[in-house]
Amino acid sequence: MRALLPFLFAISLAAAQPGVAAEDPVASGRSGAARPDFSGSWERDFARSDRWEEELQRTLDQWNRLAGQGVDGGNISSSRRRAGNVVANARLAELITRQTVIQIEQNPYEVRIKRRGDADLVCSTANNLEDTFSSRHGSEYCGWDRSQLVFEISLESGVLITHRFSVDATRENLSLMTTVSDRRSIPFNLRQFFYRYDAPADEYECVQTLSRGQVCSMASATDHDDEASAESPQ
Amino acid sequence: MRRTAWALWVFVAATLAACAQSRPVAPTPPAPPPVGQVALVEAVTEPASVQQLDIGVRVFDNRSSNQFAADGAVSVFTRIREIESHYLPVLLRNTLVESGHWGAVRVLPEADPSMDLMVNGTILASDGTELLLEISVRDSSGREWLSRRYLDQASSDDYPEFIPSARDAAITMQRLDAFQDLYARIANDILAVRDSLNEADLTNLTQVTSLRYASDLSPDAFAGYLQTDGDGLLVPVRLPASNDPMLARVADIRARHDVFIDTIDEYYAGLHRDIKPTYHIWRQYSHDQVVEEQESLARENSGVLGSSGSFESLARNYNRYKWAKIYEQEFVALAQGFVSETEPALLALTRNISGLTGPVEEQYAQWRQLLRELFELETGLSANPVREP
Repeated sequence: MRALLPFLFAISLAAAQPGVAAEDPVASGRSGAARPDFSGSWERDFARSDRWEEELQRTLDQWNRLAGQGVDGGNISSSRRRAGNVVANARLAELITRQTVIQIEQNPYEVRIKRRGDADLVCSTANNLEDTFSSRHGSEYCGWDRSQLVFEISLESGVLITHRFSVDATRENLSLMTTVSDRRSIPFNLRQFFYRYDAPADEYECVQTLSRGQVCSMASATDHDDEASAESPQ
Repeated sequence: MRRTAWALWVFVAATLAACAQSRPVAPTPPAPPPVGQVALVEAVTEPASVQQLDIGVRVFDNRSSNQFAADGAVSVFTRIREIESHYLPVLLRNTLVESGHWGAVRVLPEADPSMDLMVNGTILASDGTELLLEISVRDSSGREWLSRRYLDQASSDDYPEFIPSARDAAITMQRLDAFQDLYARIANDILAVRDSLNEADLTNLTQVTSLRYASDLSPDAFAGYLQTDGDGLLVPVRLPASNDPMLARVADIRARHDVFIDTIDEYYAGLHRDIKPTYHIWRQYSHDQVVEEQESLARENSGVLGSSGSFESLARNYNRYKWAKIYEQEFVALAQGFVSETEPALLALTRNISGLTGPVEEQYAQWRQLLRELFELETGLSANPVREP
């Protein structure tokens, strides 16, 4: 099954619809790949983002309509169970997308998405389908679907989580489509929008050390005499 | 069309990945039993001079696997393996010196013809909980003294209760290595082989070393003194006269060579001193990470964490995944911290010795060539290098 995951992910990428992202590529020094620039600080736009309860209701309504048309074979207990799975998946989607602010760092080689309280999502800018993390609790792949950056997390319970990032041509709006699905129910989608904001420039340049934690110096200092050091415990 | 091409490309990549996974893997030999607690056999009285063999401990090879290869952190962990391959030989050297049974014991970048014994090591596994080394020891005649694998396991008791910081460097410097038993076992095993040899064997060995070094300097002048026997070992067929002026010149050159390799050895010792506190912290983190992983697995196997399709179950599953990933990302960050912090100590190995340049391995090769040319100048004899057995 594990060997099949990249293949399934690739199929899902290939089948995906073109997103909202426009071509505003950052010239990449690698593989000739041009990638949109996701870098910056992003704050959630609550007015435009989906509300998970409404989205859940919409999904359940859709499911009921399908069940009413006999798509589910008319089995009531099966329908209820599947509806229950949609609710659980919707709550999971809400849980994992609670961050109101995300930071994205990007260089010619990789994109790193930092989310408070969760692990960073990191993907290379190359044209590879990348196995970015693997443990017995789940595995993660990332790749590019045209200008969209896609992460797919496969949990040990069989739940699949897909994060699909895209940025618009003005680089002022970021879209994140999160999909939670399993084999037993229809996928639950939650779309969130973020707008760019200017975070204050970091005053410190920090280097991770092992014995002294993060060792920081003033970022603006050009002269060694001006440097100030600060240590923080790990 | 572009989408079709992309899907096709990915299909090929996925197929290749699947094929790569099913590739047969060479069987790994079972690990030896752990060495357990070992007391180093220390000399009570000074050994006879013929027993005081010179030992060279070559910088180790490293074949330990990289558990974070999927995380894009391969280069960081490769760097750590490189640091370990310079650091661990010094621990074995120190143990051999501490035993008091030997002559000069030096860490060297390459096999050295002036050594009576050469120790070669390969790091097969090193993660803070286990250290698995493959050690082979050969004398200058080519006889194999040892060839075996050594495993030692560390427990939490081998590490301080709290991970020390830079402020605790003085304490860390005093602390015994978590795998000290392994080095003591190797030292004791080498000693046992030496003690099985009689005085004539040892005298013969030191003569072979001298002649081998001489023939390395000048094959034309000294090649006739050594021969390879039926077992492929070097044996002296005749000895030069004790007042042979050529021997005196060899001794003079060898004295200069000794000073040079002492300097190299001191560089490795300096590297060890510089990175010891940081390395101990790193290895403790590594140990804790492995222990946490094992405990987490045990908790799951005990059925404490049930599973169902409920939201609570899904959330628990996601959180386990999330924390495993966060922990690994932090571990990689610590590894990068370790590498950046120890970088200056490694750079010190490229300091120029006696006007030579390049990494220490290159300087060592340059020096040996320089001595050959010096010998040629002094004696007018050819200094073509010969292959070592």
